[in-house]
Amino acid sequence: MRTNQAIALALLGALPLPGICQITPQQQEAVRTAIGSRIEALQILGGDYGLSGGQFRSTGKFVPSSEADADLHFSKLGGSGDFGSPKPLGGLDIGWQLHLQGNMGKFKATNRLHVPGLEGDLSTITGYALEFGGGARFWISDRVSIAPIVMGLYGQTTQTYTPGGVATGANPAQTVPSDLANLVDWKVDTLTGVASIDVQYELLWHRAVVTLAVKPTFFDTRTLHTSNPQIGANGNSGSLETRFELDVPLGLQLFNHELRSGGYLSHTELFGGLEDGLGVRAINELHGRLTLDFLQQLRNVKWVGLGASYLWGPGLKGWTAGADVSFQF
Amino acid sequence: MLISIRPLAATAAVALTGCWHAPVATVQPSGPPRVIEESIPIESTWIPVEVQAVDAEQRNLDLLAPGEAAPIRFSGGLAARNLENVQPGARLRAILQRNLTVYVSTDRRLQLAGASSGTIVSGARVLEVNPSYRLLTLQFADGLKETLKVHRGIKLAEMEPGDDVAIRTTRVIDVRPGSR
Repeated sequence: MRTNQAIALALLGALPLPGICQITPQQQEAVRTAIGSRIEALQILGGDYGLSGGQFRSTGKFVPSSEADADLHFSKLGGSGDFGSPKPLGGLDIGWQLHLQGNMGKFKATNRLHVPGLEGDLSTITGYALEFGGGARFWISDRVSIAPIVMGLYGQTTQTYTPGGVATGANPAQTVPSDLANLVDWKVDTLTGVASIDVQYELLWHRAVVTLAVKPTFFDTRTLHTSNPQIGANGNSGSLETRFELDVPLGLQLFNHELRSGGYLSHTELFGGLEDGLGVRAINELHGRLTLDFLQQLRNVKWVGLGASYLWGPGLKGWTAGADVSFQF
Repeated sequence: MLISIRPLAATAAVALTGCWHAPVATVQPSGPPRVIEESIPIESTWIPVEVQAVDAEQRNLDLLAPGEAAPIRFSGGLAARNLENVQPGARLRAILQRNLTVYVSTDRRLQLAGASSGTIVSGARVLEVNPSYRLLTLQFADGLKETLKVHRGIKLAEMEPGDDVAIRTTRVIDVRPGSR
């Protein structure tokens, strides 16, 4: 089973092929299951706002292992926000705010195969995802809030397989190996239901904002349409993120805005299809940012700046960098 | 998995330690009557103002801003702003440069000493203070709230809900039709 998954992951651009060129029907079924998990995982990682850690995020790059000749690039743009100030919930000592969040992302995974018979072949998977949803944030004390959030994530994933001769131009008429023909060159549309609970503890230390957060998330993915009836993604995934975040004003002015710094350290455990599809059990992220304070100076914008993250975990390392923008409505 | 459950348990424990309370501006702040900070320059952006008087010949409007007892004059530019037919009592929006004095009192008045002697009267009260982002939220007598960005160095750490705020407009920067 592990070998079969490796074949599928190799086709989808994550691991090198182990040198297997004959696939039995049983192995094909296992490979299809692995491909389904892979689609599910890429859609969630590419489209879910929560897994990006928040704010805007630009192009990222993950390399599952230093030996793998594979690249995975994510571009994500998203945001979330609580609307207005907390309002009393009935006669209870609980405040509440409307919470909305959305995200859009695209990804591309490329694997250059290095096995006898397939040397130089290219397996490429591309896709995009759109996510939108909301909920409410409930303040049960001045420092502790709980936000149940429900979202929908639509995505499309496309896989193409290019034989080495075609890729290099040496043999433009080369065809896909017959063993792989019914597992490659497909397009799948999926819809994922996302439910999460964001629990935060926030306190002010001098002028710095310190946040501790825990966020369990559940994903249910279903195939809406597929160009290949043998390929689809139907499964459940989960993640559990714990995060320590700092937001620190630096006391320096630039362009009439105060400079702020901050970042977070997070640990996210992955479950189900997300774990199987990525072949990763947990992701750690260390994020740093340098921003300008725009709150109450530019409508609905809290800060604008630059941020970067280093990500690591068992069998995974990578980085992201880009614009870091936060909104407050 | 056990490792991840621990923060959840810790957060739940913290959650039981207090209740949330809506911010209230009508509480009596701690300490004796005193001035916390004088002449805090702020800019109010597109807040509602009321037309008190119209001088059609001189093309002037006298505008009353929230929290103030006396109107301030806006001169010229009425045609460009489609304000030629405005009547007294109309509600407009304005960008104002204002000065705040934040103080503690027992009857909303405070006798100043020294160079700025005289009695100041509260036009609003502090509702919320956010020192991290230098935000000061005021609540006026009619319930209107306004959140202001104040300069660095302002003594936000000494301010709290219920503090009185005397407001004086120093300049009308712009005026537009509409109450919102």
